[in-house]
Amino acid sequence: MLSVEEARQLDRLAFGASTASPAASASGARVSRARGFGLEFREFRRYEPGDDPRAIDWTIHARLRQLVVRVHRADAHLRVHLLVDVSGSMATGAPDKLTGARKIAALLSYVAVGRRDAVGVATFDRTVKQYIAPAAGRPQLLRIFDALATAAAGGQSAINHALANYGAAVHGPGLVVVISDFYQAGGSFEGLRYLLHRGLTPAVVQVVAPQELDPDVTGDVELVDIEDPLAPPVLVDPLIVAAYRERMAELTAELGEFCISHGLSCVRVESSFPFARLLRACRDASLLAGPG
Amino acid sequence: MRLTNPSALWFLILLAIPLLLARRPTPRSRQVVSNLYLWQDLIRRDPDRLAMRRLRRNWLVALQIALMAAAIVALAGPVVAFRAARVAFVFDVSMSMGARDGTTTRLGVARERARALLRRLPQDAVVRLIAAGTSPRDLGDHPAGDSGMDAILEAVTPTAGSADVPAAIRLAAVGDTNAQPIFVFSDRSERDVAGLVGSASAAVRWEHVGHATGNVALARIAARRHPVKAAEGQVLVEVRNYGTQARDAEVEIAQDGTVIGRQSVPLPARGTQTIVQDIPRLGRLLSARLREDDALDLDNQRLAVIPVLDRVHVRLITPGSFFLEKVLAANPRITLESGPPGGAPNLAEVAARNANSRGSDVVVCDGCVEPPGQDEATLIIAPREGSLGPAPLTIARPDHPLTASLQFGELFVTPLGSAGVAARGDVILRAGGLPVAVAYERDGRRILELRLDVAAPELALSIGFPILVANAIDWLAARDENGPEVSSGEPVRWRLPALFQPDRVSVTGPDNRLTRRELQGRYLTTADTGVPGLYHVRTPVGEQIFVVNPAVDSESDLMEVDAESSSGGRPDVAQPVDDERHVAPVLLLLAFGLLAAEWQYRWKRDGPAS
Repeated sequence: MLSVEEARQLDRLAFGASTASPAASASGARVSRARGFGLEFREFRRYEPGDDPRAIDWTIHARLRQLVVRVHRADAHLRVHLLVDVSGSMATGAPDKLTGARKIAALLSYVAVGRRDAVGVATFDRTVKQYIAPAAGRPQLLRIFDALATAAAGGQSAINHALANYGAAVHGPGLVVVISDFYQAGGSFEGLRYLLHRGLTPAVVQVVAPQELDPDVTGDVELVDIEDPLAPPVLVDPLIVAAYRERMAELTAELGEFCISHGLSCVRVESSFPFARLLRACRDASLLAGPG
Repeated sequence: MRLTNPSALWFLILLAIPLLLARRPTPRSRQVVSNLYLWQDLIRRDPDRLAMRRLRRNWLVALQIALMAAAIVALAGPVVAFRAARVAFVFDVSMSMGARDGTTTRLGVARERARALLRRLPQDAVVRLIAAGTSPRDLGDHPAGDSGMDAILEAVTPTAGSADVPAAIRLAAVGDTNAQPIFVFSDRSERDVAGLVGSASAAVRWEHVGHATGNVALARIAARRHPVKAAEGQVLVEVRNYGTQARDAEVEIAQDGTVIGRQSVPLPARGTQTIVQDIPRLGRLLSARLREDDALDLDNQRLAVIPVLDRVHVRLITPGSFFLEKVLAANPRITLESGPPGGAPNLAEVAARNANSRGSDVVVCDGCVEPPGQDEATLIIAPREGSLGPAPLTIARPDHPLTASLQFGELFVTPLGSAGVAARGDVILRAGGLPVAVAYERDGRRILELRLDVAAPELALSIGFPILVANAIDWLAARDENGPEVSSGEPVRWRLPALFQPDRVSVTGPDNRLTRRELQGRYLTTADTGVPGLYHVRTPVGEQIFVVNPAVDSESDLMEVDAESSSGGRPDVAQPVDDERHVAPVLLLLAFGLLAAEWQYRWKRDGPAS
């Protein structure tokens, strides 16, 4: 999935600070807003029954004759959910969009594992087809890579439905990176909203093929939907291509506006992008952060 | 519009091909895409765009059909008629156009035809009017809708002369680069001018007028003095019947306004009759009139000037030439005045005598080298010195008045040395190749140089010698000029007296109207002779007359009518005045334009693959 050189470039990266709230944990690398047993002192408060007696500050008790406990911040780790669209539409383009989606999922999971965040992956078309629950550690990375390598494009897509199913199964906090072409009649905002409602923080990675941005239409061409070959084809000619480009830009702009309005990361990449450009796109969208 | 090759229209069937091809389900390329909803969105959002796409596809078919139609119609050779913006009307105003034709004249019929044409022309069309008389006359350009056009046409009247229609047509074509139609209204046949109008022939629309009709005309009138009794004379009148039926004509002859005779002349069909009447006392002007009511009035009267009883004053200067003196003295038209006898003439003495004597018309100077006087015409006979050997005498200019009726046979003469012979002049006679009679004009007077030995019997006793001398006197006295009769429309060239003041020379016509005249040296020229009758040439010296008679020979035969028109083969109303233009080049250009548009459309739609 990733070459050594690519992996080396990812070693110093982490997910952007604003991507999601980390989950409280005893061993996370991120500082959580939750109280816990981390090393960083947060506040003093009166002892209440049930508090761990080890947290009582005896020095204060000796001086003030009051039971006061020390409260520390909890150390947290980020739960990253990678949702990869494997519907039939992801098989189009040269190289196909699924290849690009795999690459992005791989690099994000590598970064997550490298920062000791929990990362899981799920593939979907109409529903969630394959699910690997988020977990930390190197073995998780291998599992994820295996799942991505075996994922094949096919089936009709229904992003909203799939996101709703996934949101119902998991809960936040956590970062849900949805990697898809987002070609959904009526938009995919319902599914994204549902994830937000479930305490998850979606991030949008739109993968498009160069042929979709600039379709090669010569003469009258019948267009056939790859996900529904039996549907009536649409007859187009070169005169309509300009309008199509406008519509394509409109779709991307709608996604961007949704993300901005909800404070989400949003990035559009082309399936033909090399690794460095993919990385730069993720950094530009604040999905990843770090030196370099 | 008409088609020169209508059979090409069968190719219009081919127009069905693009229609059938357009209806045929065309093989289209299929392309698999990741979604259709974006494309469907476009169609759903903007149904007009879809309609426009269909329309554009139909445009392509329409363009192809229009392209093919344009090419096929171009093959059919369409010719579109446009109403001409400029036309020219040439009216034959010869005498025959004044002939009666029904209730009007031939020219009246021509005017009606012209008016009919004018009504069919655009109001702003420009009509150039030209009167074709003996010489063509440009009557200017006029708008077809000009309210004064009727009056302008009425002002076009027939003359008594002939018509140079080809010249008028050429005048109409001058400066016309668009081959404007030239309508010629004439009673002549179009065949008469064929080949004489050059490139303008293609633009000529001949409008023939007139019907064949009989006519009687006075073809000739001539007066002469009695050879012995100069006060008496005879008049000869020739009457011609141009009709196809014999008839009698009454001829009235008058002298100076007084009727002196009246005769009834029987005329055979298309025959001529001549009458001669003695006149006991000749006056100045004779006239003959036909008392006939025929188709043409203008040729029913004719005038003749009675030759004046005016002898040529000849002054002979000679050292003594018997034969020359006898020849001059025997000529009844000469009044001879002899110079000093004996010896070579002394020019100074001759000049002194000239100053004191009455002016002579001709001086015959025997033995002179130069003309003795300043003004008189002179017959110079070279001094009999340096005579050469006998040589055959030949006539070099048989067409010259000096050689009229002149015959020498095989006559050998003795030419005198040619030194001093005028370098320029007409060589009239030659002897062994040497010029021996040279005629020329110098300072307005005529001079004839004879380098012959007039005393030699072989010349002096020949029958040609007295004729040569008589011709020489007549020519020197300019009796061959100032002809007293011309045909109407013909120019008159009049030799004026030696001393005249240009501003006091005038020519008046029969209507006492001053005619336009040109003066060049001693010659007066006037071409304003359209009206037949008596003309007066007035100079300070005196008054002379000449008459203008109708051009009977060319105009009075009213039977000469174009057979095609008289048979009713052509309508009386003028043909349309449309100017035909070939449209095929425009259609081909249009076809190329459509082809380019179709190609450009396909290029835009399909890119380089188109």
